[in-house]
Amino acid sequence: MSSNAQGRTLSWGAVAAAQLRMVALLQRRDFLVFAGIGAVILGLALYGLVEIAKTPPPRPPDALDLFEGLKAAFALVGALWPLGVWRRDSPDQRGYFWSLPVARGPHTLLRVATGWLLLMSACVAAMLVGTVVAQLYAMQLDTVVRFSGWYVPLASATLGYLLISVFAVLVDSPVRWVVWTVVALFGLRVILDATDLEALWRPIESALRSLAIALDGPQPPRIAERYGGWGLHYPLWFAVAALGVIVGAYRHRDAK
Amino acid sequence: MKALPKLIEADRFAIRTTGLAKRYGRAVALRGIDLTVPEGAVYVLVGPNGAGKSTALKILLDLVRADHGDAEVLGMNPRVDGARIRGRVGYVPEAQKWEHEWMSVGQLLDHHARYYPSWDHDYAALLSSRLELDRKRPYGKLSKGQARRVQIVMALAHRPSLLILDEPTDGLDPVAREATLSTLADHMAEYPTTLLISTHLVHETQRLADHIGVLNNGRLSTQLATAEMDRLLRRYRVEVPEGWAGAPELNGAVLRRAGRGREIQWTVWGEEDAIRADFERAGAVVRDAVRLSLEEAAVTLLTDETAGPQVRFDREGR
Repeated sequence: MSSNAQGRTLSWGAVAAAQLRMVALLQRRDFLVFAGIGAVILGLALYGLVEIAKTPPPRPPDALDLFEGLKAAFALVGALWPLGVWRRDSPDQRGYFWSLPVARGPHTLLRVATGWLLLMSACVAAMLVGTVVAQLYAMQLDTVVRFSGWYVPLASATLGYLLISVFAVLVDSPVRWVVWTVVALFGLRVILDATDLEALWRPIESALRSLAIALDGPQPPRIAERYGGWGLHYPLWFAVAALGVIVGAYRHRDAK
Repeated sequence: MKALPKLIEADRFAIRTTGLAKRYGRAVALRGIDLTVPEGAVYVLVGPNGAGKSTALKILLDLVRADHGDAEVLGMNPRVDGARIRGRVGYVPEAQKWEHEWMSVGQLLDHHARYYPSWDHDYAALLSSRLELDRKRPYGKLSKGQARRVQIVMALAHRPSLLILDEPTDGLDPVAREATLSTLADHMAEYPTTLLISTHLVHETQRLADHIGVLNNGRLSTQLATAEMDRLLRRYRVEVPEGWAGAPELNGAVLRRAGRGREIQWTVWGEEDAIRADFERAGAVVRDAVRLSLEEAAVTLLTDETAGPQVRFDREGR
């Protein structure tokens, strides 16, 4: 941590607070969009509630699995979130960020952590609202809300966030890199199919399946037995993504 | 004949580099420079665009890493103590608006202040008012001059031990330029600080400078105290006889030559009495010898460098 001529030392707490304020300010618009989408969904949900009151379904479900439906949405939000955290601050524009009197690696990691904290705040807020709406539905339908696996949407959002954060801290144009990675995988698949070299695709397919399981949460026993469970794939991908972020954060790049 | 000095002597240095070299791909930015900035000095690093000035300054802050050579800033190594150095340095980058453009001026200053425990909020407010900053305006929408003023406040308000300013007045209109330089001069008078300023607009820094370094094509051709330059660098108006054979004793000391015919102007480095004596011994008559302004001196030293080896007398004195 840096100190100045007067011997005063800058604390990590102060840096974290500064980053939190800055990223929150930067993501104001993201929060508004997030809140807007949430409001639309909430409106639709309440409308559905009114409709159910008018015409109750003949066979209500045994339980409402609220969090099952949130996994994919949260993983997507998590994947888009780093683009907001690092908006207008891609590595080729990061001169000012790097010129601040803090070690570059921890400073970058702190920003990633700050963004994650804000993401989790948004996700938890959405889950709380969702829980209230689900309880209303449950009362209406005379059923219960199932809370098991409540952590999975948060874990999916975290993994999506970390994976795209690797691109955000490593490369100048993360969106372009993500798009090109997807295009490259698709192209490779087409080429390998056409050239009868499908065996070469298998390791990639395994990796993609592993990622899908990691984002999807605990699997039914027959899938877990065959491909390995969430407890195996999630830590693996989390470690890969975290390592990528650390490498990106600590890699020196000359400021422009 | 005394050569142009390459090193500055002092008891304590704020900045000292040895053999600093840097390349970007195939382009060479620095070719092994030994920059020495004494503590408390106002050192002007002069050089044309693309000379390597910004690269040298960025290396001092660990924003860019040198390929070879060592640097020491305030007694610390930028590679190891980059963050501590940046905490004690006020930096104005060459790029205008490289900070968070989406913030308002007030938000940017507040954000910056949080990184500097010694940030003096009263002083920042005073500077902001003196430079007529509007805290509510979006930083990204400011003119170059206004953005530069914000950067000056950011560099000065934590009262750093060392100021590193990279082309601070480049691209500014005369009013903004004057405001920037006056603020800087006032700050220097109030808070003694070492100042390293890079520029290709040398005349603007004449009133501040006490040391000068000439960087051209990645090489630091000379660096010296301006007092020494005042004492030893002269432009001589010399009348030479018909068929003059030249003054071989001055070989290596002549930096520039102008004029044709019998009256020629020579810019020469050395003790004036000795130079006059050399000219007169060779049969020439020195009409006058004048000191050069900082800008004239810089142009001379830069021209000398670009021309290759120092001008030499040939048998015809041309």
